[in-house]
Amino acid sequence: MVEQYTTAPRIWAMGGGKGGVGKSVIVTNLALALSRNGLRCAILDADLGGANLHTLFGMDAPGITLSSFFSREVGNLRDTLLPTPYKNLWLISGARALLDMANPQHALKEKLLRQLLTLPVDFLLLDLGAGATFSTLDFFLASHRQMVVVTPTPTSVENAYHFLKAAYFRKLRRSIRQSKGSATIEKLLGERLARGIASPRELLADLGRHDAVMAASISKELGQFTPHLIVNQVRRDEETLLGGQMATACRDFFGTRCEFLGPVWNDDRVHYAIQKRRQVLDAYPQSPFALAMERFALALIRDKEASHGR
Amino acid sequence: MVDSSLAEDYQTLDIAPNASLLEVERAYFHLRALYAEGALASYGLMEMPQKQLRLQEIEAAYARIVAARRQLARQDAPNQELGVHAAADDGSPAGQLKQARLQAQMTLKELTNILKIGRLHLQNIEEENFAALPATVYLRGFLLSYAKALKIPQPEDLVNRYLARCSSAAQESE
Repeated sequence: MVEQYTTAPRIWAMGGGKGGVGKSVIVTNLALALSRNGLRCAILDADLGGANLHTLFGMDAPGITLSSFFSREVGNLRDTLLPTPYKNLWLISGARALLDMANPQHALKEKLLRQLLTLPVDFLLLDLGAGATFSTLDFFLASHRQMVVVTPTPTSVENAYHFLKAAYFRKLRRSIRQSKGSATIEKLLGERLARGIASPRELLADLGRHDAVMAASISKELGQFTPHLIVNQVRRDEETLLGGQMATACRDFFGTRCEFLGPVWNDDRVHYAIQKRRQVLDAYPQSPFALAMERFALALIRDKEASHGR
Repeated sequence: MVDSSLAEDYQTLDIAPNASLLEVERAYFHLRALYAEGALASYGLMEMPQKQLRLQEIEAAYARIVAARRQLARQDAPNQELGVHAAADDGSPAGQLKQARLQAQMTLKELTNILKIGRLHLQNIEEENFAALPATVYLRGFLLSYAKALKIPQPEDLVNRYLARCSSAAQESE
């Protein structure tokens, strides 16, 4: 049974990218890596396209989901935590409910987010699935750690940039609204955003010439947008460079820090583990994929400590 | 000595004004590959005309920085040959290795064929890309054969300095 917990969970979100690049497998294995270190972890399956994380855990289709909480079938959000076959690791099936609230009102989203922060776990991992709906972007932006997975293919890279741009502009719009700048500036920015600007970095420089104070406050806000990149299914040496190059491109284009967590070599054992309905960390703990997940989990935790020190 | 009129150029290449010539070159090639036509890493990020504009900026910044460095080297060292080489060698063991290789007019590929060590490893060694380097037991062997192949005096000394830098970088990142 889950007992009382005093600190709010840290939220890590996996978003964007294309279907089939390995988002779900990476999320479940990262969670397992955390839980094996004695950290209590929950995964919210929020993939609207098809929530099937329970399959990856060898569990049956869950009877209790986030919908059960919204319809008051269960009284407390923590009752939607389904035990997985692994210690310290729970699953919340959220897809149906999130699909029903397709473009839910801001208040409802905020409420759900507040509720999620009361869960008695150390970490909550969101598997947001592909796509860039406003709901997905809002959950992504509200998270402490943001992850995007790409594979070394043009389609996947294009998708990742599309998602990152969508997330960045949503954050930009919101911080402009919050900074309460003059109406003319807001209008000016609105026009440029609608027309599609060349690069956010140039936009901010342009804004700085009009209103330096506002530009500073907005770029500080946007500085918190620090997505972590994972390059999955790497098959050739030169593909290991892709992540670093994309991180530079992001900095060049957005003007914010973008962290490259590392390359993950293509590994047939991931495929075998899914067929066995087990986690890679469990079935093949010494495989390069499993070791990479352990490394990433550590890097992401360390980053948390760094940002706490600020 | 730092030329302030080049500040924007250094920013374009995303390096510090006191970066070594090696770092300048590295940044230049990294960025050029990033925005080259058909490059995967910038696919879908911006339109082609925008990429071309960016490439022009990068080329121009690199050209101005290199020209300024050459000028400086000519002023500092009466022997121009020496001056340029001194700029490539930033005193680090990695810089020493690369400089020795360049002086021998050897490409990374040629060295790879001689040493039978992967080109990526050699490149990572030269670029002090510590995180990507193999375990110390292997790295020591790689460094020693690299230094010996280029007839660097007291190769063990260089290897030890390199490994010391590597381990202090690892401690710093913790």
